Amino acid sequence: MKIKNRQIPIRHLLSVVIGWIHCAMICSPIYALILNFTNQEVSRETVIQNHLRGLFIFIPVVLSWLAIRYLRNILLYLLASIVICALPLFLFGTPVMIPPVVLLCFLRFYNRLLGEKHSLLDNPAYPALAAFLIPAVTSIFVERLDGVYQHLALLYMAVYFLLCFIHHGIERIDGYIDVNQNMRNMPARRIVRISTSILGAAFVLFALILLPPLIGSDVELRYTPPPAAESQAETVLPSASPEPVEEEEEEELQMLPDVKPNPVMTAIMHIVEYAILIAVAVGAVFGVIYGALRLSRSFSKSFHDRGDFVENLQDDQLEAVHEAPRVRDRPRFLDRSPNATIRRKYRRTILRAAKEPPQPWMSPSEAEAHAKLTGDAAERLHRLYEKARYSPDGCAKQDLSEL
Amino acid sequence: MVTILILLLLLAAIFLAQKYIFRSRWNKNLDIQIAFDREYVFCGEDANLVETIVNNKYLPLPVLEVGFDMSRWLAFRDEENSTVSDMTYRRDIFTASVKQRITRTLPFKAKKRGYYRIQSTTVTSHDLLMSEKLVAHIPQTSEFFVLPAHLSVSQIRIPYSKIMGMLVSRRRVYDDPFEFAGIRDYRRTDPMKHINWKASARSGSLLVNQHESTLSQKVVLLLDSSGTGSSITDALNEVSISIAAELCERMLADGISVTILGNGLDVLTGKALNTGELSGRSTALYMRKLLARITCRNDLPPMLDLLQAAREHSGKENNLYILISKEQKTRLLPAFEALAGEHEAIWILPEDRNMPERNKMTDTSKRVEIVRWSV
Repeated sequence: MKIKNRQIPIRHLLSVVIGWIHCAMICSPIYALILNFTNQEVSRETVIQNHLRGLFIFIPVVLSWLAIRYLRNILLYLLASIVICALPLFLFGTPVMIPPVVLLCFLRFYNRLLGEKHSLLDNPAYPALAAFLIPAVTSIFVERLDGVYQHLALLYMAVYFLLCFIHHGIERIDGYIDVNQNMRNMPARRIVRISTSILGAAFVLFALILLPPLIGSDVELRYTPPPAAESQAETVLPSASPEPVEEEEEEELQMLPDVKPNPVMTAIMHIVEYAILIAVAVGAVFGVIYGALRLSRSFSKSFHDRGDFVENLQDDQLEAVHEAPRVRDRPRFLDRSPNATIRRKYRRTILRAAKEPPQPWMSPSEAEAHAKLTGDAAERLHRLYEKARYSPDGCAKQDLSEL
Repeated sequence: MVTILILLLLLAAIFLAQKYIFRSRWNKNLDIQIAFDREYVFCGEDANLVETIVNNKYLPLPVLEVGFDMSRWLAFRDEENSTVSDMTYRRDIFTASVKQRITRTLPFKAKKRGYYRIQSTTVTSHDLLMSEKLVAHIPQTSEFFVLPAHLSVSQIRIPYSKIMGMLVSRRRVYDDPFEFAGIRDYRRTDPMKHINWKASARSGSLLVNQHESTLSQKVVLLLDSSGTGSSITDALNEVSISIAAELCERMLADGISVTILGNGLDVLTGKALNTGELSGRSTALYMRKLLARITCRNDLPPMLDLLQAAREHSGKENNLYILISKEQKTRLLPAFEALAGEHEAIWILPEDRNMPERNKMTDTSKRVEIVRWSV
């Protein structure tokens, strides 16, 4: 029997890889933080290196995933797990990363026993963003920790948020396709194509919004303990510690007029600059999408797909298909005439009484029947509404008193 | 910190904006039409239902579920997307990119005569990130006729020959002086008033005018549609309607005027069946559509009332009456005899071939010829 190789969609692979990356991302800052506490003096560069080195936990995560997937014999998996758990020693030269790998292997083993398909550590989740706050918050209160932890935490959170966003999006698409897989003529390929394109565009847009300002930011917060009564405590804010200025320079500065920029104006200018950049980015993303769409339309005007005949409407055809937009004849906002008042009152009454808003094609009687309005008051309102809406003279002020 | 706050606000704003835009725009310039590819078919034939989606805007719809309900007597060939209970509830999934028209054709089989409508469509869509469901209702005005089934020529030949025999026999007696048919040689039995003197003078021998006898070729068909519920009753009713349709079509094709009266109710008007006087081949489709629209029910007025009413309204016309009724009770026969008067009439009696002999009607009549039709 000929066995046909099943094609694995790219989005499935992407989803699995995101699951691996999310594990590595959660462990990496904690690894750097622990190393910072175990070593005496750690420079800013070393912190960044430790963060990047912590990402090497990706290798045991991948091996563990492959082991649980392809080793059917549980004993073989346990043997492989022992090897995988020992791997961090060689990768990091320290046993710090062994516990997370042991936990990961155990959870996979536990899930295998329970028959569950996905472990918690294979799916990124928004609540896990809080894990990145641990090194950032610690660095605020512990003086020996560098402020770069805060900067990196924000960057990690942004990247992790994007991973979560794309992973959840893929899950929603796959979930919908799985639920409806037995439907006949379901255009699954086109659904996936359109929804993943939208997801990709949103991802690019969010990445353009989030990453550039966070990469360039210099956030650094410090907790300053209140000064003791007997002696003035030194401020711990690094920005507050003034550097010794030479006397000559000080004199020159004193001679210059006070030209300190207004902080509010600076912030506004930053915001405006950022808004312009975002607008340009959004425009570029939509421009690329629109261009790609127009280009693809010029190649194929119609095609068949799973029993559907799909026609791409051309611009000259659009006018024929396009219906003239219906302008709803509503009283204007500033119109306070009796006619407008009665019509507003009628509309409000109908909308309050009806569970669902009436359809635009309904006549007043149909709308009242839809809203189940009965009684004298309803009849009076109906009469006044028809007078206000359709009669040439309209309602007078006396009619308003009837309401 | 300000930057982070702005970023968070911006993300939230973009997320809410896409939600708002999608909510307010998704069903704008979206047209969904569910239509049959033809106006009518005969019972047992196949037809197609065509679903057309037009998304005429620059907003893609990643998923579009179109749901509608239809009579279960129109059976789709693929039943995966349908749930059949009292009706057929169908849900189809589409996706529409920007500015696209999608057409899907669904073949189905018309299993029962009737008049069918699709009045509304429920459209469900998911937003751009597939996180929210949105629903709208779009009215439809599709209608479809399943005409009474065709009967085979061999089946209908016998009753039709009898009818034509009766009509021919009447034709000799009652000529229409206003319907000129031709000229022939004079015979000794011809009345003097039929001699065409001008033509005789021209030819030198006596010639007489021949006349058509359309006035005497009027047929009134009385159709019984009462009773429903059991399969045999339904089958007998459907056969009765098919016989009526087939006979009428043949008679109209032969230039005979036909009127069909029945106790079955029209689904559109709610009134009892009355086609009025039909003549000409072109009215056959109209007649079949009227027959497609009638419903068979248990609470219909009895056939006896219809016969009495027809007798009260009949004048001095010399109509040929044809009764199509499965009623085996003998009291219908005297009433039908009374309606026919001095003339001959035909009763086509559809009956279950497994019916015990003791339940069958045994009465006979000199003027009413009973033609049994086994089902």
